[in-house]
Amino acid sequence: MHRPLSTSNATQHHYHKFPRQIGEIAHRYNVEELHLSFTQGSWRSEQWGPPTISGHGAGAEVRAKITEDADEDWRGLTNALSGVFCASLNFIDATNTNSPQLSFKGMRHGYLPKENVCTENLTPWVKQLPCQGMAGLGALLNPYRLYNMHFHSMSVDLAPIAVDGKEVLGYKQTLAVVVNPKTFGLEDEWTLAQLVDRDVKAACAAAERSTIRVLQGGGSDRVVLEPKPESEDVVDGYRFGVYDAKKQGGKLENIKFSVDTGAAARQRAAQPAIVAHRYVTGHGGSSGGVESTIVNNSDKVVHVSYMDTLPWYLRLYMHTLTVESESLVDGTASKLKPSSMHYKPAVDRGRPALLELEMDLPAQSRVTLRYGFDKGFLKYSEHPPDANRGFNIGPAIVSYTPIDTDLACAVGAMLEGTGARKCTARVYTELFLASLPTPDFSMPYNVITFTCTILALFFGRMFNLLTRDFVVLKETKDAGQSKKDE
Amino acid sequence: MPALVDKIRALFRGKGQDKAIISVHSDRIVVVLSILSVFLLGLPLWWTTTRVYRADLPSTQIAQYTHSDVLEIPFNFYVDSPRISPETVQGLVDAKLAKSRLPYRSDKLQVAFTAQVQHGPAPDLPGHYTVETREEGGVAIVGTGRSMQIPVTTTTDANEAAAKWIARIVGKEEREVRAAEGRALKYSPEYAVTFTLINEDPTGGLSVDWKIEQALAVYLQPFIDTVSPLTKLSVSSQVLHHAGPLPVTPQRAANHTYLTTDALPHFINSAGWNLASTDPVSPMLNFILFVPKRDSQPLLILDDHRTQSNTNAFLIPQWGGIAVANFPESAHGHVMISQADLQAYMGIFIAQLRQLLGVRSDTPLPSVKDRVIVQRATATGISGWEFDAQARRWLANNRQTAVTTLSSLITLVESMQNMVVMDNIKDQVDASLAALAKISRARIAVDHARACQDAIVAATKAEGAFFDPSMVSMLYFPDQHKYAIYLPFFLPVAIPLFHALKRVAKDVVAKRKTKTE
Repeated sequence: MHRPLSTSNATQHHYHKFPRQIGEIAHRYNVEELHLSFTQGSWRSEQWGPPTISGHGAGAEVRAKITEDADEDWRGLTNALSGVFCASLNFIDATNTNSPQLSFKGMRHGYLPKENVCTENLTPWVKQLPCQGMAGLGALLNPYRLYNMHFHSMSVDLAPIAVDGKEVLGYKQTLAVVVNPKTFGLEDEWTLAQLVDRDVKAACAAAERSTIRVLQGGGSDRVVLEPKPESEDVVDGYRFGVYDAKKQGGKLENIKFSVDTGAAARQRAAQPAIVAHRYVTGHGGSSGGVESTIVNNSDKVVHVSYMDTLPWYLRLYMHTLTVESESLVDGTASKLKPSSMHYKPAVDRGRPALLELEMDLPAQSRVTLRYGFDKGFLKYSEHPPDANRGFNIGPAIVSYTPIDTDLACAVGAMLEGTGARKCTARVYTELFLASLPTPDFSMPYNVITFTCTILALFFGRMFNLLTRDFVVLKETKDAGQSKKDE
Repeated sequence: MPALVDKIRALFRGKGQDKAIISVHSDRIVVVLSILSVFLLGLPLWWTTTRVYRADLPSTQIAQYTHSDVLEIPFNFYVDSPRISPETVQGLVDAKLAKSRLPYRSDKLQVAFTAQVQHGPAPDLPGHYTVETREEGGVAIVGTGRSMQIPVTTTTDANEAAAKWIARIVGKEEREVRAAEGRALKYSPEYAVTFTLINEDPTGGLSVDWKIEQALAVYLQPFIDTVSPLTKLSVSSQVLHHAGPLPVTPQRAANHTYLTTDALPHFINSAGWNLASTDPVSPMLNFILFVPKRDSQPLLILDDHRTQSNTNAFLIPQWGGIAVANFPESAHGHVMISQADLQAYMGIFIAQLRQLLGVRSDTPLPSVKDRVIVQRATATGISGWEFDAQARRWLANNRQTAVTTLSSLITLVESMQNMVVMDNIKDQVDASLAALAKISRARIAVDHARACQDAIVAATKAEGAFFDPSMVSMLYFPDQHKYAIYLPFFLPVAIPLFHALKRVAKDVVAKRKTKTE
């Protein structure tokens, strides 16, 4: 959904389809560009094939371009978004914000890997739609279903677009889910209404366009649609069957999906061009390492930028950085030299470490990056309540411009109705848990009493030595005798 | 060996056995006192390291502004008639006002409105009014500017007539300010005014949008500009395309639906209607233009007597206003509410906005048929008299707020000795006091709006100090914690120390005795 921001001047702001709350926030905090996403689960490309949305990592992510890049505006923005979306975005502060140079130029980037996404975030997200949850897309979102799915990612985007030659802010809301109908007791044949467990109501009256599109071809051939789509839309080589919800209204709930579970279904899904994973290595409480693998499945060299943000308590050592490339064809390994690198070391309790690398991935190769870190000691009060669980560390992000067609880019272009164009694809790795040495939390008082007791004993002993009279007992028979004599 | 055995035996020997005592500490007193002095020297160190920072607040200055001192706000009346003597009128007005003034109550505003009557033309400033005389007719006319014409026939005493009208105006306003009413919001330097067009259900009916930009620019902007010296109104608007089920269902009649007064307070679906403000400070005022769904149109609002209200709108105190828009049956599909169509609703909204801000429509006097004509400021929505009354009311309120907040702050800070008071608190308090000091009778007489701005600064700074986040985070040690931390060390240390002190004292006494003997 793209909606140009309506007229506004210095003191008045008017919103017709653009959501007022987002517009007010963007205006108050001088936001030129914004991306906010809430994601649960990670996209398993080995099973599901290429993602339909440009990657999102688990947790909550905010990135924004702010005029003059003011700290105060960034803080205000995250606090305001936190209020609107009922999320803990207010915990995005200097210690988990950075300004990447290569991956997201000119933007601030904040990540909350621990954020759990649930109904309380969905409700405000739905409210930003012009018909809210009453009609159209919003009416299909059943939280009981959504939060039982394998993957769930919703996002809000603000970006400058040109409307009638004028540059305005465009607004976009995206929701991506991966669902296995068997979870809900649906077998190989089901309708749209059964899948979402809601009545499919009429399209939102304010919508200019309201369509349901089904990706055809590729691995989706095994899905048979009944009735057949009214028309077909081809973007970037991908074919989409189109149903017009604006015209058809409630009739769409009877679209029947029949899944062919034959041999064709069992064949593996097509692999996306770039797949990335990240693992934590090492053991013990003092040091560890990170190992990231980026696999280039395509037959061409792909230029990628890799970005990893680690909190200050994982002290990175750049001399340990190695980049190694291994051919998927014959297994020959060789060193790979990144074409450029940007590293911003962490400041204790100040800012996170930021590592950015740009490199050319050879065709059909697996590139492995390794770097080591020491684990810092945290203050007693800096540990979370569940300290022994460890700390969630946000994902590394691999960004690249797809050389061939890319599904996420095609879907994006299709939704905006702009046709195929260049876009940036992003792959997010998994999170990892860093377990830091945890203190015994009942310690401070024990230490106080223990030290005090030792000091008191020491003091008592010394004091007595200095002040007491010491008596040398002298047993003398004469003395006893003389007493008797008296 | 036998010597050792003997020694041990001697240790257990009973009383009465003679012991040879060698005191190694004949100067024990020096040791005890020096250790004691280490503790005593440590005391200031302990005190400074555990002390919290407390800026010195000007409590004596704050105490000058007591609750019971009365703020005098003088009106300036300019008479330009040979039949009226300002001195005589002044005397008469003072007497009338003194007579009509009610006794002060501690829980109400302590204000005294007075009048200064003088000759000459009035300057165009808030608080300065021209009084003219009219020979013909018995009707007093209050103009939209700051002027009025009073009827004076040739037979009546012109001074008495002028004094009567002036005292009526001043006295009425003083009574109103002192008896606060609950519809208006508390004063704020800025209000977020939001206009929302709500379409109850577009399915199978109307899909509406509005030309709000133009309508607001034409009908509301003059009002915003006029009140801007006192408060800023920041305006936004939105369209809600689908309201969903209403909390109250309108009742059905033969050819219309209706809402009765008891249903109106529950009409707002504040959770579902996306009305929440994103503004962290300014209070919000909501104005809703509600388009009922096709089959409940026309929706009428009935008043207490179950007759149709002539505006088809209602006000929710301290929250905002709602107007219902019904469309003719011919309207269908996409409907754009034009600027001309919005004029009527904007009139309603401005009237509601005035009420919510506390502007009384009977300012300075209620219209009485054949007696008083009060001209309405149709262009700006607020007349000079109304603006001034608002400035005076907010002046009194804000000054009161500043004084009570400052004295509460002092009480709070003095009662909580562990509370941190940062320098910025002191700065804000000083700024508030400086602004308060500016509000004097003489300055108020010159310009009410300026004095009101000073009072606003005083109140804002005082509240800024009182609600400063640093005031909440108290660095304090509860007494239990102190005992728990100090006791394990100081108790075992104190016992031998005091024991030794006792012995030293005993020794000294014994020594004196031996000396005297």
